[in-house]
Amino acid sequence: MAFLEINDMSLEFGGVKACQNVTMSLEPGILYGLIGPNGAGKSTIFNVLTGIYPPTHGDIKLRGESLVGKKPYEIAQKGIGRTFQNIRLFKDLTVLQNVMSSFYSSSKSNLIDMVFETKFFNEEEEAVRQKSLALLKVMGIEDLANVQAGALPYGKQRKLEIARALGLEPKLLLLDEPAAGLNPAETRELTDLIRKIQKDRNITVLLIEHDMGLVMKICEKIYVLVQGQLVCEGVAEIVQNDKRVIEAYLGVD
Amino acid sequence: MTKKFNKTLLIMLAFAVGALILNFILSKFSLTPGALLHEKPGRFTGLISPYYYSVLIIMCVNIILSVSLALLNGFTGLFTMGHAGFMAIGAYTSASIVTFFLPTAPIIIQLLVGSLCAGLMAAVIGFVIGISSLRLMGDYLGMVTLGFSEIIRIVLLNIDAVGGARGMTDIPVYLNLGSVLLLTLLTILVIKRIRDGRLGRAMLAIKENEIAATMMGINPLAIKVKSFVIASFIAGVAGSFFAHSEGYLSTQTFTFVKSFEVIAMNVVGGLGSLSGAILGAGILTVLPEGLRKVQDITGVDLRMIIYALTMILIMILRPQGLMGNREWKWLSSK
Repeated sequence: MAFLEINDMSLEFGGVKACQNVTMSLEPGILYGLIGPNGAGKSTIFNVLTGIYPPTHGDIKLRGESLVGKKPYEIAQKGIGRTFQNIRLFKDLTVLQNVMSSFYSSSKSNLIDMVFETKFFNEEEEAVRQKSLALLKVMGIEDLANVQAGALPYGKQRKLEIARALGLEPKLLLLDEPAAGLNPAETRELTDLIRKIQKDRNITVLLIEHDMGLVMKICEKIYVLVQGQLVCEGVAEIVQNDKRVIEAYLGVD
Repeated sequence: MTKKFNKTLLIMLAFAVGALILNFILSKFSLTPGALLHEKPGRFTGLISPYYYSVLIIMCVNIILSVSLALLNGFTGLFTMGHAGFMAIGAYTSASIVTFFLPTAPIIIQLLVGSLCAGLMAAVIGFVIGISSLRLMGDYLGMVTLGFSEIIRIVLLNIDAVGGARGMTDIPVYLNLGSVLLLTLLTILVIKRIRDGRLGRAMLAIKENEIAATMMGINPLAIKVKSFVIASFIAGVAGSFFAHSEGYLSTQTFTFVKSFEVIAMNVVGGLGSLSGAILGAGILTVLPEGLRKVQDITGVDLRMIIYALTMILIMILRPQGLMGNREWKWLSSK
């Protein structure tokens, strides 16, 4: 049984078919890519996976358990972390607070603990703080821990978003265009980081990206989505030579 | 770590004991405004005149209201316009319980039972209203909470046992400036700690970006209801303090004007800043009273005009509020 199964999933907004009969099956510990032209429905798949849109047809199963009908926060608690195409940080909070906020569901201190600052509360807070700092260190932004998140340069904001998603300790990490807006040097750095995180934590990553260099370099398997339909899947060479993929990107002679 | 826990308990005990001692000392000097109502003005021998005294008490009550609204408006980002309703519930609950059931009990029992019941009653009603209306966003939530608070007021107006339109009189007065001041500090401390804990972070996350917060495994509705219940509880307690320092309650006090006053305190001080909520409450309580002096000079009542102009000026010159997003050192998170 696959780790995550999307089974014949369709999503329609009125007459618009955003996704049609998408079937994917993700194995644990593998880095997947999801590519396609603009408007193909890539981010929509992420939104369905995380419960923002319920699918019109079909089923999504995480380790055999259906995610359809679950609330978005319940799905997140089951271990699906994500980042956003248009960065959604908590801009007025500090970098550290941003990461610490993602430990909400895994920590347990209650109101009494908070008001009386009990031993349990202090220990838990300290543990969360250390874990968050460790995540910032992985992303190489630990020296910015007390800076306001909105004041970070763009590339650092992307990194912070990944660090925050990792705070959920996800089994599946959905990255929506992590390299968008980054310069080539930053992109290279981020590429190495993503691969390192994926290997070190042995998590499954599904990555949407328009930077083909990045995708071909690190993705072990690539899905191609065109107008809401999966047209091709496989390793980089297969995808690169697929007729329908070339058609979708470059047009027909 | 254990040491720190004990320190907190000590601080809270000190607050409680200090309040009782101050209560005792000040009552010896017949400084309570309630006592003044029954005594001849000539007999007053206090340190502060009864007028300033009652302004200071109202200021403390307003600070409590303002910081509890800061929890909703400033931290969780919920725009509610019905805070006066919860204050009214607290005031009438506490006044009724003490007047009808505990008229001869010692002050400490009256204080504890009265304010606790006031808070709990407001919290329960806050929970019911919260569950039903917190799915709404932005201005819609404001309208619904405004409606609920007016319902609460009209219901109280029509209960004869609590005086109806005549108002409720002869409520035991046991709170004085000292105890109210200490309890205000305690409330601020509690709200600061909630903000700095896990719950506060979730509240701020929801205010900043609800979708992102949801994707971090935070249930927005649950957090909103929690903050609504906590804020209602504190507003209820503030109502109880108000009732037992004034000695008289009228539903006219708890109209939507009161709710807007509390919102104005938050906005003038700076939304999202606890220090701002305190500062705003202080300024907006003292300003209209201070302007009475100006009226003596001008001879015409320009108070409300100056008051309104001041607020407009503050909003033009400092739209982010006096404190903006900053906090005083003793209230900052680190």
